[in-house]
Amino acid sequence: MGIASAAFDSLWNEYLVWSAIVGGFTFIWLAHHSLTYRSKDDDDDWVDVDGIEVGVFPKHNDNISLELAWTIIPFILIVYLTYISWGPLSDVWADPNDPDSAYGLDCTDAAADPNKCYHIIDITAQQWFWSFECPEYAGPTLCDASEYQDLNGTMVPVLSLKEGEFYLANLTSLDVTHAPWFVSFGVKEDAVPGLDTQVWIIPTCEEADCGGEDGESTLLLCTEYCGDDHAYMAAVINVHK
Amino acid sequence: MMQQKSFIRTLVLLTVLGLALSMAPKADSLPTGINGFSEKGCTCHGAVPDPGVTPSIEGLPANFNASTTYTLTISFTGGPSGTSAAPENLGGFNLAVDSGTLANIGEDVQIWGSNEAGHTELGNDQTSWNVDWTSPASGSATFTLATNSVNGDGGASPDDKWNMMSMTVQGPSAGAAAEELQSADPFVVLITLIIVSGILLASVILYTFYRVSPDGFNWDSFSPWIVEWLTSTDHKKVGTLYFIAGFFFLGVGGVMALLIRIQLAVPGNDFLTQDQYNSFFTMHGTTMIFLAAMPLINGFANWLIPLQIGAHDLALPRINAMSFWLQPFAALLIFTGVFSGQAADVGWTGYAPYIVSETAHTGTTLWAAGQIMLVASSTLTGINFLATICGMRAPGMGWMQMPLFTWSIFIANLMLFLSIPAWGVGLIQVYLDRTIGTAFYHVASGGDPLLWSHLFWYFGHPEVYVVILPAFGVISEVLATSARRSVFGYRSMVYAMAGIGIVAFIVYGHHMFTSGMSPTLRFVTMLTTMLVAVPTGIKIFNWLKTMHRGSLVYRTHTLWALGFLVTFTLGGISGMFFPSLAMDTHLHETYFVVAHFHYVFVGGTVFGVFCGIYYWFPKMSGRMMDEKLGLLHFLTGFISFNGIFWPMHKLGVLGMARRHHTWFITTDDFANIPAEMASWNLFITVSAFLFFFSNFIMVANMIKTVVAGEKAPADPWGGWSFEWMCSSPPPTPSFDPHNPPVLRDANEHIASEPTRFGQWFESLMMPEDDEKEVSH
Repeated sequence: MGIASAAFDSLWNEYLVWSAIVGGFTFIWLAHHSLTYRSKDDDDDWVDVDGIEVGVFPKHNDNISLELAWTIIPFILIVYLTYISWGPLSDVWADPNDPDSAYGLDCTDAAADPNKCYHIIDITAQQWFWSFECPEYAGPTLCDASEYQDLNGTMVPVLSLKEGEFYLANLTSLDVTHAPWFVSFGVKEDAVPGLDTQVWIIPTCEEADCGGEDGESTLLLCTEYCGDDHAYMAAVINVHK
Repeated sequence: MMQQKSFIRTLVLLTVLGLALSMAPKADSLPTGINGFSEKGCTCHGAVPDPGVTPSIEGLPANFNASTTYTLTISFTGGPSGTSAAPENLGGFNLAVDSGTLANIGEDVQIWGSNEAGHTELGNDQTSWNVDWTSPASGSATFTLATNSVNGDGGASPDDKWNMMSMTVQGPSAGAAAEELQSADPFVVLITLIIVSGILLASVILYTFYRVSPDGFNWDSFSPWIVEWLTSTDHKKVGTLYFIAGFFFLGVGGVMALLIRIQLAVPGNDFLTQDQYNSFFTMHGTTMIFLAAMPLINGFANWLIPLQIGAHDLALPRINAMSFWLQPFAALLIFTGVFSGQAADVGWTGYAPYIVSETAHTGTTLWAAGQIMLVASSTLTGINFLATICGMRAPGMGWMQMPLFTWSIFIANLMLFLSIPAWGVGLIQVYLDRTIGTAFYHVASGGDPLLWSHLFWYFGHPEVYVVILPAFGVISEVLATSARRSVFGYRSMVYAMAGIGIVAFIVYGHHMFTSGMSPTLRFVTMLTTMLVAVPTGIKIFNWLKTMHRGSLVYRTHTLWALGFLVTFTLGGISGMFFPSLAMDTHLHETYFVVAHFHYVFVGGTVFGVFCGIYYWFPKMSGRMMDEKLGLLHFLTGFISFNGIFWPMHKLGVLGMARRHHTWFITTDDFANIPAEMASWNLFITVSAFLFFFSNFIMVANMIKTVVAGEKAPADPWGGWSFEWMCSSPPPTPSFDPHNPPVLRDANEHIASEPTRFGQWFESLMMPEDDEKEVSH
């Protein structure tokens, strides 16, 4: 699928299974009843069980235990799906100031564990281009945004990141609302003018060798409508080892 | 008599031709640049042009010679450029020209295509640049120049200023033969199609009228007829007007969908410019929701609510007529932008601050004005149906004896009435921001863009249930009647709808999972959104169980109801992916969302509307529809519908973003949509055309039915509610107000007295004076 986010992958698969079960159950039921309970051409043996008559509210056709069953069983499934969706939230919304969170502390922080710390990238959105600013200490392998690349006729910035590192992006916008969508990492967050938002970026590769020498390139697209060139407000995200 | 008939026929023909001739040239005579030249590709620093920066182009003659190369000097003065002590950058430019070709002289300038130039990395440190322009053989050339004045801090910053200018130079005039054939402007195509549809609609109405009353074309009998339609307050006539308006705009919205699909059929297409594309998806969404779905639902509600509850009309018939007549005028306002080439381009959600920014099209102001009128219309409609259903039910019809369609309209209008004013407030703020300079959404002046999202979705989410609940009502009626049973679990159906109605107000935050809203609020709405699945599931299982031990009579409306169950279940399942927050961060604003909401919106609401049309058309027109054409419509429509929207799920997950003018296939340089998946987009476009045209089968069926259908009995399908008691078509007033029908209840073992809660609620609905009168 090209979706490398572990949280997304596991949820996606689990949801697909449950979708297939619920959908399959419903459609088999639908097919069975709509074929079995057809009216026949010689319709003499049909009995009007509910006494349908114009101007008369018909007899109730209900069964409280069945109705409770398909209230409670879906409810249990919903509770389960909520439960499994809940887990990844601690990673999605990890507190940048919590040393025990999945991504530790800012790497420039004296208290940070060098094996588990994150780098801060500033992303500034503007009609209609992205500007990336890497941390000052970063070398070209860790974070680089000096290159540009041609994307079907538009020059777009290239952001190079290193696989296995954690990045926290601070998002701002100078004019209207934009939203960077890191297509292959499965995350996006709005960049709202006058508001500071943040998003965790965990670069991953689909192929084991990370696409070899050049690394793996995927797209960043704008996913909050922002005017004329919205569709071309893109960037290339390069991930390498 | 024969002579008179052929005279009238000639008259009809001449009227139609006259209409066509008087309207068609207006489309042609529109100025060539109806949309104007688009300033594509200005990546300018800052949102608003600054008058302190003065761009200029030198080296252009007043009149250019054919095919000559001129060296142009582009420069600017003013702004923060050069103010920094050690400047890294000084400025930048973007030059676009509509004819001739541009070429660079030095490394400081780069060329895109042949008609657009900009500075390179090297040219960043300059305030003037040179570029070669080779003039075309004839005509004129319009240059559009934007320049950035950069403060020199090494990046784009809010202190940078920019401005733009444009100038036109004339060249040798071309002979008539040299004139190039221009490709059709999609706006002209759309306007022409709207006018042609208008003429077709007018001719259909005239023809139907002519067939019903051939002598009607003398003014003495025509004028009372047309005056009656324009001024009627009869719920059936207003309902028919709603249907006509709804189907007309369903067609207009459909044409816009087709234009969007042509653009997206292949990657990198330029059938529409970005400007046009953005306007088209905005107008498509607005038209389909507010000018097609809502009027169609109101058409059913107008026709059927008084009939189903045994009332002679709605409680407030004049308010009802006013609700309808606000709509065509609102539609004119919303579409005014299209006719000027500056249609609203903000998306149907109109997110702030873009909606109040200078870059949004000027038509947005009128779009907001039209929407304010629609808010007024919907509020009035809401109050009208609440009053009618609360106060005008026939004797014997307690709350729990109302037909489910009446229940669905009651709950939908309650929701609409409670939610749409919030959006009205937001729209008025936007309107004031855009006209008299208030600052509700201008961030620089302290406005809050998230306020709009909250106001919009507080209305917007209940709105989606407002359009789906009536479809639930239709399906409940149709499935029960077709299966010749009473609907399974009537009471749980009512409670499920009421549950959806309540929960709908506290889930809207799931549209804003990535908006920077507080995580607590996101988490709470994640839980509530998950909950909506429970009542919706109850309804689906109840429908399925309704068929159990029934005797399902296959008619066209039965097929549409079964089709609805399939598509709505699929749409419901895909909906379950969004409240799961960690997945929503990927799926938000992609084609997965587009697929989901079209499955519930078209596969739910529109299929429900089709189902209702085939079910109640005999009641409305007094004639039976053609079942063979109905079957053909169902088969073609159902299959092509799935062909359009099923592949979109996959495309969305792979990386196709919504509201994008194009999409990207994987190349050597980057990965996006794999080439083998890309052809699905072409498949979708073909399916879209099939779906669009399949619906004309129904229109043809309706015309055929009105003109030459078999007469319909009062109760053709065997339903129980009051509308099947009166003749087809029903008389006016629909029931005698002094002698209303009385509903009997087959459940004798259940006390017909309302419960204590019901009594209390009833006492709220009944003015005290009435109660006193009753107690005499």
